[in-house]
This record gives sequence, C-alpha cells and structure tokens, in this order.
Amino acid sequence: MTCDLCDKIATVHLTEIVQQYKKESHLCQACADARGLRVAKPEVPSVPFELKTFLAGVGPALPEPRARLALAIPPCPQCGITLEDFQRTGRLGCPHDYEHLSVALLPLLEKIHGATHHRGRAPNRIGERVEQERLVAALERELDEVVACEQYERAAELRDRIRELRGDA
Amino acid sequence: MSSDLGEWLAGSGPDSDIVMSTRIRLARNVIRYPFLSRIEDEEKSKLERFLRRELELASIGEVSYQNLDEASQLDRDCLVERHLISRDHASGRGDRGVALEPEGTLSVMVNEEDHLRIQVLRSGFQPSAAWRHILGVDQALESRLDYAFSPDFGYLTACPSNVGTGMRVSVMLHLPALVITKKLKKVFNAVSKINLAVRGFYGEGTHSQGDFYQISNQITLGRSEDEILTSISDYVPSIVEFERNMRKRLLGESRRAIEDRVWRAFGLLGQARLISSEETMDYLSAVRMGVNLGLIEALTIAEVNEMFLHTQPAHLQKHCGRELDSAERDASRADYLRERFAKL
Repeated sequence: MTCDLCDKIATVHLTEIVQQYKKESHLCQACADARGLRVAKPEVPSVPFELKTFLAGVGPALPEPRARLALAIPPCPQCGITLEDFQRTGRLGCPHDYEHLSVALLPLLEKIHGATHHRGRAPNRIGERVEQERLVAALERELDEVVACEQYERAAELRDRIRELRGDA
Repeated sequence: MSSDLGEWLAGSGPDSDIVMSTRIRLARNVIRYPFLSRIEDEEKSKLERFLRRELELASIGEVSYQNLDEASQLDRDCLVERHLISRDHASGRGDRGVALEPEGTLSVMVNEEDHLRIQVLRSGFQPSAAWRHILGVDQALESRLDYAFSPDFGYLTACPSNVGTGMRVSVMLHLPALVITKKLKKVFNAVSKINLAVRGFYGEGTHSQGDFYQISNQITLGRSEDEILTSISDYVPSIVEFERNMRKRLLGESRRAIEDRVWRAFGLLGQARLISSEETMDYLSAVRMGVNLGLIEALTIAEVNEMFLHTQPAHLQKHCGRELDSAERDASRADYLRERFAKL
C-alpha cells in the first residue's frame, strides 16, 4: 500500500472517526512525522522480528568487526552480490550466496529462526524413503480430522491408502 | 478468468464457523538461475517460459497458466482479492505468471520473490489435507526440476526468512466475539510467544478487516514440516474454542445486544445507498456471526463469504464491466448488497 501523500510505502495507518464516519489514512513514516502523528500500539502486533530492521542495524554504521567482515568478503562469483547489497535489500542474489555469505548469514539465521540447520524434508531423489514415512504420518493426521467430523467414506479411503503405503494391504 | 469463487469460500470444511481458510505455501527456486532480485529481463523471460512448460507437463492436476504481464490490472487485482496471488506479484513487472486449478485450491506463482511459490488454499481448518495436497504437487514438480537445495540450509530462498522448509502455514480466523469482548490481546500475546505471527485479511502489512486475522508460522528453518504443522494444529483449536466460548457467553449474558448488533448490520447492508468496503466488511462480519449463531436463517455462510469477495473493489468493477472511482464503488457496492438482500 502506498502513502496517500507520496509514492512511498505506507507504514502508518490512521483510522479517525469524523462525525460518526470512519476515515482511513495511510502514510509513510516521513509524511506521518511531518504531520506530527505519533502511532499508538497497533491492534495487530507487528511481526516479532523484522529482517530489514535487523539488517539496518548492521548496515550503514557497521560495528568494527562487521566492517572488516564486509571488506573481507568479495562479491559472489556467480551473481555479483556484495554483503552491502544484501544488507540494503534483505534479499540474496542466487542459491550460491548461502555458502558465499555464510559467515554473515549464520548469525542472522540464528536470530530469525533460532537455528542454522535444516531439519525438514529433502527433494525425493535425496530422501524417498523418509518421504513415504512422512506421507503416512500426514495421512494418519488427516484420518483423525475426518473421523472427528464424521466423514466416514473419506476415512475409509485414507485407511486403505495408509495400509497400501505400509505394504500391509 | 474463472468465475468460480474457489473451494475456500464454500464454508464447508471443519470448524468453518470460525476458520475461514487454511493456506500452505512453499517457496522454491531452481538451480542455474539467479534469484529474482539479480535476474536480467531476458533471463527472467526465459525462466518464466521454462517454468510454465514444466508446470503444464507435471502431474499436478488440471491447471491453466496465465502470464500476468499480459493480464489487465483489474484481472490481477481480482486474483489478489481471491487470495490466489500476492499483492507484490500483481504489482510486479516483467514476465511472471500463475498456474491455477479451476477450483481455486491450488495456485503456483512464477517469478514472484522466488521462482515458484506453490500455494494450496482450503475451506475451514484442514492443515493435514492441505499439506498432503501441496506435498503431492511439490513432489511432482521436483521429479522434473532441480530445486536449489542444500542439506545444511534446506530449500534455498531469496529471503533468509523463508529458507529451510520454505513453508508458511496460514490460518484465517473470524474472531468477532474476541474483538467485542476485548480478548484479542491475550490471544496475540500467547501467539507471539510461540513464534507464530498475526496478520490482517490480505496478509503481510495489511490490517484486520471484518474481524479476520491470519495466524502463521514465523520459523521455517530448524523445524520439520510436521513440527510446523503441529505448532499450528496444536494452537488454532484453542483459539477456536475461546471464540466459541465467548460467543456463547455473549449470547447468554447480553443476547439482546448481540441480536441488535447482528440485525442492525443486516438492516444496513440491505438498505444502504452508499457503503464503503470497510463498513461492508464490518457489517458482514456481524452477519456472519449471526448466521453461525443461528440468529439469521435466511443466509448461508457460503453466501456471506461470497458477499465478502464480491464487494471488494476489483470484483465490483469486474461485475460492472468498467473502472469505478471510490464514490462510484460505494454506490455500486450498496446496489449489489441491496439486490442480494432483497432476494432473502
């Protein structure tokens, strides 16, 4: 959503009641500041962690060790992105950047996800057997759901499919 | 563009009195191409043609593909209002598109922030069914495509906030009684403690409208898909129960006041000559609660859901067959609603 007064992204959303009618305004931070608006605590809490806020914190005024780090990492040989580019936009340039910028990315991943290592599924050609077990688990959960809402026909289908996948049909 | 509303508006899934829809999306990229922020126009077009062909050949059900650069702004906005593409995808530039199933359950965005954004959207609370569906689509695609994947970081995405599973599960909840009884803050505080996010009707950066709130997982790395599903599946039923209890309590303690709120809304929607989108959402929310509480018998949830969609700006303009300014839309919205309510 863009600002009502300029083309920037609106981050301040104001609802006023004027003679019993609701009036909504959407402003960017600069226009809101210019109009002297102070924002009350929003009804919907903002996302607990904002990537850009975090990156901005390590952006223009890099602390000394990070400044040295930025200088030490050359642009990605595959897409040409620099650490500064990433800090400015919050977006990586290519899959290779996860390796290339890993020194800078690991603390960020820890901050966002509380983890730095994948524990989810892998493409089939990497882990076909693991996938089958997970599919059975998903079907079993769905079976519980459909039984709870008394969809017995669907439940029978699911039961058969689970047996088939387990090889005990 | 398909005129079907989409299965997710049918109001038929489990807990659909409170859960409007369950959505899962997977962010995927392919190797040998840079992410979208670093791609040249020519390469982006080549990638779009390549992915379009793969989507048409993969066994992912009957889908039709639409290049969004060639589509009108109005058609793109309609897809946003149906939750089939993101706002950013609608307003983006260059060759990009979407593959859609006729029922509106599956959509695959091409060249959004990631090369592919696969989405399954279902009516009511159906996380397991949605997961099974999207897993099948993902597996069909990965048998043809080389996804950018690392054993350490999982599925590699343009933004590190999506890396790992690339999976976002969002549940859209209708919580009018928690709004009336001012209990939402309690819910939101609890939600943020377990790393789930709360957003408005149209996702990130949007406001709550019509008492609808989306709850979704924040963390995508270091947890398996099952764990992410479980975090949602464990928590959403307690919110549903909380809302149901508050509705019962409101009916028990202040039945007349609730009836008044519901029937005033019903009356205003059926009689207004000018009505804004926000007002419509608020009144339809009260009517939706009225239908669920058995106070209004002349309408079904599916019909109320349909009115939510048809009164959105792009759908109104599509219905009228021309562009409308804001004042014209308010008039046209009121006309549409009066016509619908007159038939009851």
